[in-house]
Amino acid sequence: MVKLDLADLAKYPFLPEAKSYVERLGIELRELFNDPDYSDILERAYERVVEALEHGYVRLGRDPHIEIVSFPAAIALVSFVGSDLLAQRYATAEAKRASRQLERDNNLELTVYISDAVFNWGLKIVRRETLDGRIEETPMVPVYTYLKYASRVSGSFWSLVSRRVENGYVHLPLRALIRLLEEAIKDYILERFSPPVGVELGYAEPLVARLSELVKKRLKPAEELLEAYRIGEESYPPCIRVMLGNLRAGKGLPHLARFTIVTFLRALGWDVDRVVELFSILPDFNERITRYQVEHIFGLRGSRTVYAPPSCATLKRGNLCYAGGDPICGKVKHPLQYVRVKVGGKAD
Amino acid sequence: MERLIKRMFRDYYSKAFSLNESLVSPIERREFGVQFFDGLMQRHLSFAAGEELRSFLTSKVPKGVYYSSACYENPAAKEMELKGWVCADLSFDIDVDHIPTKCKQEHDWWRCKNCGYEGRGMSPPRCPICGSERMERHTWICDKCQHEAKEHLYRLVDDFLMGDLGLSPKQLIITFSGHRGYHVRVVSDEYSRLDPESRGLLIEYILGLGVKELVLEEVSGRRRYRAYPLDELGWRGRVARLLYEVISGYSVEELLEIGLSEDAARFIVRNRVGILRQLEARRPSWSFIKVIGRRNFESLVEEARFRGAAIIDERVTRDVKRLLRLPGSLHGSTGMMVKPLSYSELEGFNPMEMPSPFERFGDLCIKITSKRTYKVTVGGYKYDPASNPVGRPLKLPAPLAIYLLLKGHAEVVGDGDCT
Repeated sequence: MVKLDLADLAKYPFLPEAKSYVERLGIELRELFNDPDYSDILERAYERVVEALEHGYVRLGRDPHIEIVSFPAAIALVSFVGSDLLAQRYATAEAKRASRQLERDNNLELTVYISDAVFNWGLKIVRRETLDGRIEETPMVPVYTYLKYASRVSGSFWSLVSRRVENGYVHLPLRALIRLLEEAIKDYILERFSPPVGVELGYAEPLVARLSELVKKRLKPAEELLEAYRIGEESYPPCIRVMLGNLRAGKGLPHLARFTIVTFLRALGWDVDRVVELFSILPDFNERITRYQVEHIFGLRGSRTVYAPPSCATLKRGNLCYAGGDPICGKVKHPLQYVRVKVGGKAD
Repeated sequence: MERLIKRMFRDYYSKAFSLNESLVSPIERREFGVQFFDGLMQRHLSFAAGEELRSFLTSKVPKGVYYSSACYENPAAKEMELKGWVCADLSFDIDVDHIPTKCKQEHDWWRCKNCGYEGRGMSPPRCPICGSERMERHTWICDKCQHEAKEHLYRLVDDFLMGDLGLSPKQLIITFSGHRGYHVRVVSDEYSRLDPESRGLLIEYILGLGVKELVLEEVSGRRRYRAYPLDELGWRGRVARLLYEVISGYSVEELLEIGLSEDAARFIVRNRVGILRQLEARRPSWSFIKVIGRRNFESLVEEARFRGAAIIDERVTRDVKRLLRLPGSLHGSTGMMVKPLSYSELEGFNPMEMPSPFERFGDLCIKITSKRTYKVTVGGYKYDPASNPVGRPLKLPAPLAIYLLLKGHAEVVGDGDCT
């Protein structure tokens, strides 16, 4: 059985044990927001959200007690702000923090415990003797759980073909298991955003107001951004429209989707700034990295190769084809060809 | 002709058809759709019980009957958004149309409706001459194709669904499609909640896409191969075992046919025993790659993949709002039944010998109108174009006659014309 101390609950505040810790203290939101004795907790809750917003990451504070209690308080704050983009960003940052801590802990038992206690994954552990005689313990995830979360993470590393699959389970290295857990933790947090009814904001009111301001400055609403560059979006092929839709919803996009959007929009005459700005709504946005990558794809860095958008065949293989019954999709082999057919003119 | 066929379909739906509701359960959550003999589709139908569906089929007599793999809050809603999608059973379609078989050269052909160019075998997606997609496709059923479909069904069910995924036969609803393929639906809450992207990962797995990358890695621009022991799990061991099969069983000619060079093919056959010993080792080495070269090795891997993958129609598995043929209904281009099969019935099942519901109509009087008919067996009755000349009134058993009529190669003539 895994023994959890206060420091563990601080690292993984979504654990049921952390929840009962808060319950045992008998602190309710109403008091948190209205009692000056709890100002340090409220302060830390606010900080958590700001860190997520500004750095895409939440650091681990020193006082475990404050860390544990400020987590539900931060979720309440985000709920009060009522911005889906902020919610996405906060959940992503908290999930990333948890997965970094899990990597640092490098503890199979603990990771399996979290998978089961919070997410009910029903993991198994297989023990195998390696060729040099060591006993190797590998966690196994049910295939459907693997499919559900691995499909959101990009890269051939996540292809099921490359995995050991056995009787309904997928063998996973610990790091890969942690990466899947990160996705599940994000979902878990996202499901918890709902403004508490009948709670007076009290001391939290100015914090919520400040956060709303920050959100307005930092996270430009996707609609507004896309509106400005809307020219011809209805002429884009369904795959690009779906990808932009996901971008608009602040959802994480697989690598190939990002690459496709960048190369496609470049071909339509967008410049680097416009493209970078478009990506600024993603929860894991980092301007420096994004700009570097976009410039690379634009052929302004490195090998100076200008990349063309992937063909329909490549998109299909990458599970990014959404042709459905679109009559034009049936006739073209390339997303840009689609635009040409649709507008009847030239697109690139 | 349409009146005769409709009469016979109606007879089937009113007397012989009985819906096994457990196969479409929960029936009240499913969307139904039908296609009529005039080509019109009607979707967004919903039935509270099997009896209600049956009386609908008896009065409307459609050519094809379909139900959704998905469950909806409100399956009869006309707009997808209003239906309230709840989940969709993981579904698979195996259809010889997608599997390259040699016999298609003998009995399948296509014609471009735009320029009239035609060819034999598997139809290309677009006309090789004018590029048009308006293609007329003519397919036929034959023993070899049915055999091939079943081979892929067994791979899907035995190797992937029951093997790697660990599903039990009770969780699989298997039907013969009524033409030249099979459908498999997985009854599992966990799988039915997966989104299309997740299903995409499983499609890749079943098709073995990415096997090449599994054995030939590229590490910082340099290519390396990775060898796997024969008893490894998943595709790692599968590709090793299939390579073993290919290397141990193929002649030089067969190796040439799958794209190996003359030198490579001869090297493999000459050093077969040594290579196989390397493959069998607990720490296997595939050093023969260095001799035959990467390109030849890739051909071997591709052949291994081809022998291990189950060729499924990607669109059916990915689509979570698709309609499937209703078990127990009739296929409108063969007159054969969409037959539910338990796992244990599979082995003895031969679609061409499957008793036909039209048996009781005895012989029908028809006239073959096309020169392009081929040998076929329907409902256990054999047909050979050599003994059934074009244009002459013939008496043929109803199951066969219906097949030829629905395929568009025959027409009904008055009983008096037949002798």
